[in-house]
Formats: sequence, C-alpha cells, structure tokens
Amino acid sequence: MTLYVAARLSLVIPMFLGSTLIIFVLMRLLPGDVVDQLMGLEGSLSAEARASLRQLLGLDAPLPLQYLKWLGDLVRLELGVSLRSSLPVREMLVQRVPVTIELAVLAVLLSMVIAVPLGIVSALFRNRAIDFTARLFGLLGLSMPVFWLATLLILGGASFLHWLPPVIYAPFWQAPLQNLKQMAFPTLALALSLVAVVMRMTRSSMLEVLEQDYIQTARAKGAAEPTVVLRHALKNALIPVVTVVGVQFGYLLGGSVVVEQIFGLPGLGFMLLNAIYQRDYPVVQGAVVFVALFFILVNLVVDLVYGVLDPRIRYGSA
Amino acid sequence: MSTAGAALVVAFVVLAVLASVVAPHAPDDPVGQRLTAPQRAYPLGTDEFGRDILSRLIFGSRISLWVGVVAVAIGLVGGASVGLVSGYVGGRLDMLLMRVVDVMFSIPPIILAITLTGVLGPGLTNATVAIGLVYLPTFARVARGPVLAVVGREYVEAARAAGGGATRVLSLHVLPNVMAPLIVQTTLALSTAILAEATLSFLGLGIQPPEPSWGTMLGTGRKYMELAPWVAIFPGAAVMLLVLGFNLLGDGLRDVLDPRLRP
Amino acid sequence: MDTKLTRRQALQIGAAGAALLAAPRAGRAQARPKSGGHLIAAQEIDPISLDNHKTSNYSSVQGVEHIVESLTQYDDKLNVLPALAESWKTPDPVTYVFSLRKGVTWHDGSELTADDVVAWWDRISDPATAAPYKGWFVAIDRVQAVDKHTVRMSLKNPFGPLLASFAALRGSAIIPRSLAQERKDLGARAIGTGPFKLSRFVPYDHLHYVKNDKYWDKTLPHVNELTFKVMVEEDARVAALRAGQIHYAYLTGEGAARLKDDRNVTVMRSPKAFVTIHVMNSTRKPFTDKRVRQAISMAVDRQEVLQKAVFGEGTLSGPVPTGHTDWFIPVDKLPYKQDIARAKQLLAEAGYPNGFETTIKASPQYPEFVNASVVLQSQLKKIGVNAKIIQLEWGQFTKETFSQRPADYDMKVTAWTFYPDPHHYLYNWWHSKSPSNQDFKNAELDATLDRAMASTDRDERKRLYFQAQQILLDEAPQIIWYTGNNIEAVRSEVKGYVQSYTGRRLAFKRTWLEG
Repeated sequence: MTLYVAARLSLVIPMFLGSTLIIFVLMRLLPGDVVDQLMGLEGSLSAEARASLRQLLGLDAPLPLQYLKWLGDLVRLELGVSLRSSLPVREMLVQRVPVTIELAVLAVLLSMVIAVPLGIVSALFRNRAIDFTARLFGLLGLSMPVFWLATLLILGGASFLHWLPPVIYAPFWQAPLQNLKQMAFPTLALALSLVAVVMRMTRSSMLEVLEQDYIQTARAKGAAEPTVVLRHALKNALIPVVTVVGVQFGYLLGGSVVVEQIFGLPGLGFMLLNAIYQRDYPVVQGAVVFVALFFILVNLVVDLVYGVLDPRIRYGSA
Repeated sequence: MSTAGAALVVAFVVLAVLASVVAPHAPDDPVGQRLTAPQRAYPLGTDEFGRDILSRLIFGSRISLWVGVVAVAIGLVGGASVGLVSGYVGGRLDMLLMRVVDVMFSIPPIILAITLTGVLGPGLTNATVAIGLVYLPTFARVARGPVLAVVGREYVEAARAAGGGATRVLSLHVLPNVMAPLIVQTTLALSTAILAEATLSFLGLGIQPPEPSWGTMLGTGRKYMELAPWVAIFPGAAVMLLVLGFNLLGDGLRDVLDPRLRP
Repeated sequence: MDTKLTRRQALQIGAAGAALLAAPRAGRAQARPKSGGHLIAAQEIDPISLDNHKTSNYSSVQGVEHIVESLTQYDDKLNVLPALAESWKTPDPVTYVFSLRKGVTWHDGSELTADDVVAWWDRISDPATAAPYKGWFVAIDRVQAVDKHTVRMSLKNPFGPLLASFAALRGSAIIPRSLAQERKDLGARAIGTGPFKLSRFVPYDHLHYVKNDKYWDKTLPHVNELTFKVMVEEDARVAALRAGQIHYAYLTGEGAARLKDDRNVTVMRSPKAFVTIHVMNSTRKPFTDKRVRQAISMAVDRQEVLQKAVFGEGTLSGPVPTGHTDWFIPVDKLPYKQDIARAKQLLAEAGYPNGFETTIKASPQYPEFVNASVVLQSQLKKIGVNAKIIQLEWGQFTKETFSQRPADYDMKVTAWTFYPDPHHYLYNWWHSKSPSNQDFKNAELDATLDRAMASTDRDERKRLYFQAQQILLDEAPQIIWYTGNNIEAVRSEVKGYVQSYTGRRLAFKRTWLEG
C-alpha cells in the first residue's frame, strides 16, 4: 500500500509542471495582451509608450524565459501581482479560493445525499415506477443549463418565497448563517445539475455489480438481501461513483464560474473568467496553478479511496 | 423509456433536416413586431428583434445537433482510444498517458473551453472543437476504469497466459465491459455538449448572431423573463427536450446491452 | 482677446458655485438632509483598477471618483466649477494661474499643496506611467508651484478644453505627491481629497468607502458608508432593488421596464454621453470612396437600431453627442433622412451597382453593439451590401480594430463615452494627427479643428465645431446611431440623487438616506 501511495505522490511534480506549461502556453496564445486592455478603445498611447509599458511588465522577454522566471517564482511561493490592480495574486487567491471550495463541497455533498440513495433504490427496483420517477427527476435537473436553473431560482425565490440571498458575501467563520443563506441557491443550482450524473453512475454501477458472480454466490449462500446489497454490492458499486464525484468536484472548482457570476459570489471562477478577459496573466496562472494542485490532490485522494474499496486495484498491473 | 428518448431525438433530427421546409419563416428575418406573444401568425411568439421564435427553434435544432454530435465524436474517438490502450497495456505507458490526461483534467473545463475559444475565436466550429477537446480526458478515464477492473481478473489473466492475442482479449473480454460505461458517457456527453454550447453562448463566446442557437436564445431571453417569458421558455424547453431525449435513449440502450455484459 | 476670465465665465462660476452651496435639490420641497447611513449601490462593471492615471476604463473612474478630485469639477448641468482650485486667472492665453483651496487635507492627514499638483504632472508625463489620457493634457508645457497654494501652468498653445479636462477625471486626479513619486502601481490604493475614503477594494466583488470627516466642504457628504457591489447580472440587480438589498442600480431599458410598477423604486432616465457608432475604415476599399460611405449612411434606419439595440432608450445624435451642453447639432437638423433609392444610386456611381461584401467586427462583451450590428446587417441587405458579422473576444477586438497598426477591419462597432469638450469627440477621433486615429483624413476638418482648439472664445469655438460636425456628417466615415439613456433606479429611501450627463454618480456625495 505504501508503495502505491509513494508512487502516486512522486507523480505530483511532473503533472504539476505539465499543467503550468499548458496554461502558460494557452494564455500567451490568446490574441491581445494586457496593454491592449489598458488602452481600451479610447486611450491613446504611442508605440514607444506601449513598448516601454510591456517592458515594465516583463512582457517583452522571450516566452521560455518568462515561463522559467514564473516557475522560479512559483517555487518560492511568489505568485506575482495582478497586472491590472497590482494586488498580490496570493492575497487574491486567499480571499477567493475558500468561497469556491465551500461552494463545491456543499454542492457535491448535497448532490450525493440526494443521488446515491436514489441511485441504489433505482437499481434495486429497476424498471418500476420509482425507478422511472427518480431517473426523470435527475434527468430534468441535468437537462437544464445551470445558468437557466440559477435564473429560475432567483425569480422563483423572489416571486414565491419572497426571499433572496444576502448581497454582500460573508465568510463562514465570520457569519455562518449569512454565509449559508448566500450559498443556498448556488449550491442548489449546482447540486441539481449534478444529481443525475451521480445517480446514473450509482444505478448503472449497482446494476452491473448485482449481476456479478460473487453476488449470486452470496445470495445462494443464503445471505439476507440488505447484507448483499450493503456489504458486498455497494462497496464495489461505489468505485466508478467515486471517480465521477472526484471529476465533478474538480469540474466545479472552475465550473462554478457561471453560478458565481449570477449570484455575485466572490469566488475563484469569476475572478479567473475576468482575468482571462483582461489578459491578467499572473492572476490566471496563479489561479489555475492552484486549481491544478488542488485537483491533483483530489485525484490522489480518489485513487487512495479506490485502493481501499477495491483491493485488486491496489496491486494492479503496474 | 428508450423508445420515448429515441422518438424525441428522431423528431429533432427530422426537424433539423427538414428545417427549410417545415419552418414558416427564415430564422433571421424580422417579420413581426418585437416581443409579441404567441398567436396564430407566430405560434411561439417573436423575439426582441421581431423574428419568429418557432422558425428559429427549428433551425436551431440543426446547430444543437451538430455541436453535440461532432464535439462528442471528437472526445469519444480520441479519448476512448487513449483510455483503452492505456488500461490494457498498463505499466509505464498507462502511467504516462494517465498523467497527461490528468494534466488536461487539472484545468477546469469551463476555463479550458473559454481559453480555447479565445485562442480559436468565437463561432460555431471553434466552440464545437473546444468542447470536444475538453471531453477527451473524460472519455479516456471512463474507458480506462472498467478496463483496469477487468484486466485484473483471473479469466483475463488466464486468457493472456494462454497466449490470446491482444485484439482477441480486447474484443472478447474487455470491450463488452467497457461498452456500457462508454455508451452511458456518450449519451451524457451528447446532452452536456449542448448545454456547454448554451453556457459558452451565455458567456458570449459561442455562436455568432444572427445564427439561431438555442443557447444564445436562452441567454438573451433571460432579460425578458418578466416581460415576454416565451422568448426564453421555448428555447429552454427545446434544450430540455433534446437533452432529455438523448438521456432517455442512453438509459434505454444501457439496459438493452446489459445481458451482454456477462463474462 | 480677453486675458482675464470673461464675464460670462465669471458669472457661470459664481452662479453655479452659489447653487452648489445652497441646499441640495431633492426634487421635492426643501428636505433637510439627514446624516448617517450606509448607501449600497450596484456597480455593473468591475472597476478593475483604481489608478486614475493609468487606467482607461470608465468603470475605474466610477470606482474612484468619490475618493479623488481634480482642480475643477462638474455640477449636474455640466458647468465647470472650482474644486481643489478655488479660482484661476489667465494673464495671457497660454498661462493659467490656479489658486488652490487652503486647508484641504488628504485622507492620510497631510495638507494639499501646490507640489502635489506638480507631482501629478510629473507622473502623467512620465513615460513609465504610460498614461492613456496623457494626450488630453498635451498642450501643457510646464507646471510650477509658485508658492504653497499657487500653481502656474504654461501651455504650448492656447487650449480651450483645459479646464473641463480636469473635471472629467480621466487621468486628472490629484494625489499626494508621496504616492505619485513612488512611481508604483496604485491599482488598489487610492488616497485623495474626496468626500469618501477608500476602506476596502476586493476586485471583482466590491468597494467599500467611509465618510471623510475632514472633507473641505463641511456640509458633505451625508452618508457614513458607501458600498459598490459588483453585480454583473441585471437580473440580480433588479431582484436586489426590489428586495431592498441595494439602494441604487444602473439598468437597461428592459430592467427598468420590470420595475416600473414597483412603488419603492424610482426609475430616472435622461440622456448621457454613450454613443454607439459603426466606423467604416476609410483607408480600405470600398470605404475610401466618400460616395460609398454616404450611401451607407443614407440607407440605414437609425430609429430601427435605436429601437432594437436598446429598446428605444436613447436619442439620435451627431458627431458631438446630443445633450452635451450646447455643442451638439439639434436632432431635427441632423441629415439622417433615409433614402434607399439615392443610396443605391450613389453606390452605382461609385462603381458598385450590385453592392459588395464586407465584414463588421464586434465583441459580445457589449451586447448592444452586437445587436446594433445585427440590425445594420439586415438593413444593408437592402442596398445589396452583404455584411458578415465577426465576433471577437474583447481583447482581440481592441487589438485588431484599435491598437494594432495598421488596424484590421472593414467596419467596426464602438462607442464614445463622456468627453469634456467637443474637441475630444472631433479632434481625437478624426484629426489626422491624433494618435487614436489612423483611419481617416480630411484637410479641411484638420484646419477647422486646429483653429477651434486654439481659440478661447466660446462663441467662436462653437461656430467652428459646428462647421467641423457638418464636414464629418458629409464625409460620413461613421454611422452614428444614438446616444444612450442613462437609466438609474433608486429606492425611495434615497434622497437628493440627481443624474449626470457624464454617466458618473456625481450626486452621491449630496445623497442621503431616509427611513
């Protein structure tokens, strides 16, 4: 087991480097740069002034050099400053990351709370009314774009519940109740769109597992159905589900952009979106690096959990 | 359920193919007053430019289907090949390929899609390619998981030990186990590709006007929810129905393929 | 030429100054302002940076205008009034001597002196600052501190728009010399003399200000705190206004329509300077031929675009936006009569009897630009011009159509915001020597604009600018659609807020909360 863990850990660095390279390249491929943004449509600057500004911002050095310099800074945990607001990127991340993580965690948890039991029930009562209803419910949530769901929630909340989330964000440790009120709608919007995915994976995975030989064996041996389901089937059925949940979590770290924009949450996704439009390279790179690191960690956890759930994978073909 | 799904999908496909024949007006012609409620002349009302929403929806089905199919094809073909090979061969190749996949994964898909459309430029084709590329890692992972699980089992080891060629082992033992998750994933992807296009359009990076993409119609229609709800409701319903159709179809297919999964 | 302030100018200052010191208008009978309270406003675009000297986006001005001031300021009627400069003299046409207000303190406690103004000039002139609006002050040759409260500005040539340029706050904010001399980026730090102090700036989320107790106008501001919450989604702004979570929001026509029956919300609308235009690249065929440009200008229906791009929320405009004091050509005198037959004729004369193919570049960042382009596209079909709309992401759009040399576009859609003087609308955009203009050249226009810029006689300038506008309307390098309406909604608790043609919230310092 330790070998497995160690092997997994040793890959963190190359993967990390890979992500940094990709995002660096992609950002520089984007046409236009921050100086163009600063000028906007109305400012006027001579060509020399633009050139000197680029030099000041370190944008004139050859790209590989810029990349290496950035990597060097990264190692010292120096993420640079925003090219627009000159706030340190680290500070901006510290402010915004907890918001997105909280949102992602809550959304994933809520979706699992709804979806896993529904999926199991669906699998057990396959093709019966309850199966159809559960699947339809999930599918409805899945079939609407998240921004649409979010809009409906705002309209619905205002018209029917006469309630709206508070406008100014408060972190959880400062004002838990206000924080949760703010997170309610965004979490719901995100969770509803996830439910179907998790539920379907649970259901199909359960179905598959329930057909397996060892399940039939357990039944033949006279084990009670609940034991069969819970002890034998569920553990193995959860493996793909764990993957899916891990994937969804990673997706949410950046994918909450839309929800953050609509509900005005000061999260990572919204900052990232704007930084891309502004060509604010240090912010984009810093944010994506963080997400990459986080994702790698989540992957690690998922793989380790995999190991716990399915011993065969622990000693896999590697 | 799958018949309902198939029916929905087929209905939209027919609409898409026969759009020019079936639609009462051209999709970008401002034929009426803006924001008129559904009535005989315009069964689904008109939008903010006075264009017939019904016609735009019908033509829009072409775009949605095209985006879905092409994007998923890119993801499926590219991703599943990587996943299959990686899982089957295992060892160092597996590690390497999966790390590359993980690296692609580590960038949030929306951000990747936004950056890709930024690099490629907004528009139908580029958005489609961007979405397809973003799906690639997902398919790779989904293909690999079951392969791994199967490859570890005794009967496969036995088959390999007995000297069965890779293709034989793959097709006899591995492929059937991988089919179901891949099919599930494909139908999921088909539906989410359409949703992804809607989101990109919402962020302003997707289809260009005046092309009648459902996503753009939804995005701009949100503004009129209180004054003229039909502008957003009908595209929303269309998206939901098509996506639902794919999902039902996928579910149904999965059930049908089930018996063949027995080793 | 008059070397002192003209009588008219003096009268204007006196009258406006008196009005400023009088009780704030609330539109109702004499209401006494109440002190205290926390005004929460929605800001629809993030300010991005608070460094007034380095940034060009309007939202940055909106974010910083309550903190910093300049030598002059605007009132609600666009009169230029004293601000940090109490008065000024012009001993000759190229010299301005400003007397600074005494006893004005910075937010950090130190006193405002003439050296701060000199430091402003140094920072703006420094190439390392790369000030986008430096061009507005290019007429200034030297700025000297005569004594602690007197500043002498020597100009290279007489320059009429100077005083107004300070009031517009594009790069003219006066900041403490210690900050200015630091030569560092001040994107998130703003120290000024204004009615509010910056307490917190969280990019892409909100700005928080607190009252400046030592503000030089002892009667202002009224509220204790001011928050600008960035709310990009109009749905959210409308909902928050209804629920009373915010007191103020900027809205579009659709948003305003949703609130028209709400008794707790007042929707205000008046023209502002935000003009949507399509520019034709006069250096590229077929737009090199004046007849082609005129044909297009004649073929379009500006009312249709006004209706469809912004729900009718705007007014037609000429090259100087409608509503800008008295510098603009009245709407009924604008030569915008649609004449498709004549347009086709002109095209044929120019050699395009069957029309031609072209492209329009736009960015979805501003949906109203895209909408205008869509309507234009359908209108152009009527004269056989097939325009393809190319949507570009904002960064790429500004690069291709504006900053790169040569710019790459056939037609592009863009906008003018508020500029203090017709000089900025006409010279900066259309004079061949203007650094922002690379696509249009007309000798007669150049000559007219040069004369107008050098004159300090307002009547003469007005006459010349009218001439210049006529030339532009004839040459038609652009299609000017409309100048938008400034639509702002406030809750009934908000008193004393008045709209400004500039689109800024000049009145926030005179606003108070009741109940």
